[in-house]
Amino acid sequence: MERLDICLDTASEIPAYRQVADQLRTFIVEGALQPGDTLPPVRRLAIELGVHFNTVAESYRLLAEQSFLEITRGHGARVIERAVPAFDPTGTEDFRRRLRQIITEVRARGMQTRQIAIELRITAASLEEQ
Amino acid sequence: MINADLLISPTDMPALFWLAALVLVAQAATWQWLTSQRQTRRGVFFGVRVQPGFIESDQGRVILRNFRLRIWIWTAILTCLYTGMVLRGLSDLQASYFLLATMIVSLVGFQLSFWLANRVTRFSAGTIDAPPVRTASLFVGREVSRLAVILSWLSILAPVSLPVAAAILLGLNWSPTDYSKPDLLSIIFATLVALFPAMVQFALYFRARSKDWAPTAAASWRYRFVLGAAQSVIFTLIVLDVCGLALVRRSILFSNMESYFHFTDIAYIFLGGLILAAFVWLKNNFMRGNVDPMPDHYWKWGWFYCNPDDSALVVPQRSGLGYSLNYAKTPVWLIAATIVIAAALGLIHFAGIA
Repeated sequence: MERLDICLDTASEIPAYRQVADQLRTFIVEGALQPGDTLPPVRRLAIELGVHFNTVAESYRLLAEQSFLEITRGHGARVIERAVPAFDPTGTEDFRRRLRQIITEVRARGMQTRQIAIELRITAASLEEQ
Repeated sequence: MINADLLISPTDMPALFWLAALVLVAQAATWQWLTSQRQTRRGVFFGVRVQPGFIESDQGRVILRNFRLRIWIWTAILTCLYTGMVLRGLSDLQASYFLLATMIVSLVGFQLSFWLANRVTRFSAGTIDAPPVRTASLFVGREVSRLAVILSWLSILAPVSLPVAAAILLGLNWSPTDYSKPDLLSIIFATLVALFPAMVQFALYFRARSKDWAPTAAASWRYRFVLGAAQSVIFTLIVLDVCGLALVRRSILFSNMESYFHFTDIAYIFLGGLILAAFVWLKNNFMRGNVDPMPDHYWKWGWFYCNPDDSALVVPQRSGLGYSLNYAKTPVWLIAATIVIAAALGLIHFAGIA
């Protein structure tokens, strides 16, 4: 049985439902959650995180809209096989812009450029392994 | 008609009333143990999250010493009062009431003393912020086994089924002094007494944050099961005692009152041992080093959890053994009301016998 931790930063400006959805999406894309895996009931995950159950329900709905999950009445949320769309080459520029935004944000919080470079290399290495 | 005094206590009971003083002393010893430095968990001291090292500092030691001094002085006063009253010649029944009242007054005194220690700690140590990050664990696959869920439901339903079964099998009687059948008031009283641990157990199994109790779902369930079952045993015993009198009069399990009382004495000692073992197990299995994710102001008087933003109905006490219900939630007030109504009915019931 694999254990995956979801972290919720209550001090963050990012809304709680987005934080939960982003982390679940990462688990699905990285393969930690496979098609067919069921997610915990909304109420249980809400209790675990100490948030209202509507917050978790909203994150499940968001992922269902993006075709990562299937929500069926009585069976909860299940990870589904998702057809990866063809990548639009103009999206590369958008990716670079968002990456720069993230780097600027962590630099503003005091992270050293050397440390950022190490983290990027680790991420790149794990991507190449996939 | 049965003599009410004999019902409450057989002829050999007066000797046990002398032991009642020991109950009061044991109560204070338990509080001393619960608040000892070794028991203080998660950097929380008298319900206040404190800086590392404060508990061992001079200020911390003084707060702890004063708290202990207060509870022992309070216990000494109440024990003298209790033994004095018994020596003046209270009847067995009056002495049982007086013991119950003394225990409640003693607990109220301890709670006030805890609250005072909480205020002093908050004033002298200053509070530190709760960590902003909360975590939840997803266990891909089943979180707890199907057997665990079945066991949980059995332990929830067991105490409640006893008075219901007694009413169905033995029938009901409207007179509180005829014990050939359980009377309606007894059955309502027993059902309410049984409902309290049943509802607490439901909250512990299905409305509690798994990570609060242990790092894995299975270990967390084991911890909550033992905690719920230990409490349930005490309440089930009260239910059995209420329903059991009817069994005696109908000679179903016991031929006479004496054998019934001997049986309950042995049962109390045996189950007392079981509960003690459960407490030792709980003490040894409580997750150390876990960080309570909720800020101090959600802990009223350092003891009662009150957080409307938290979906959990029950959380572990901040500094050690036991739990606190989340008093900001409406269902929790339903649970609390059950035990208050049960206590009121119990008083009416026993006053009727007397």
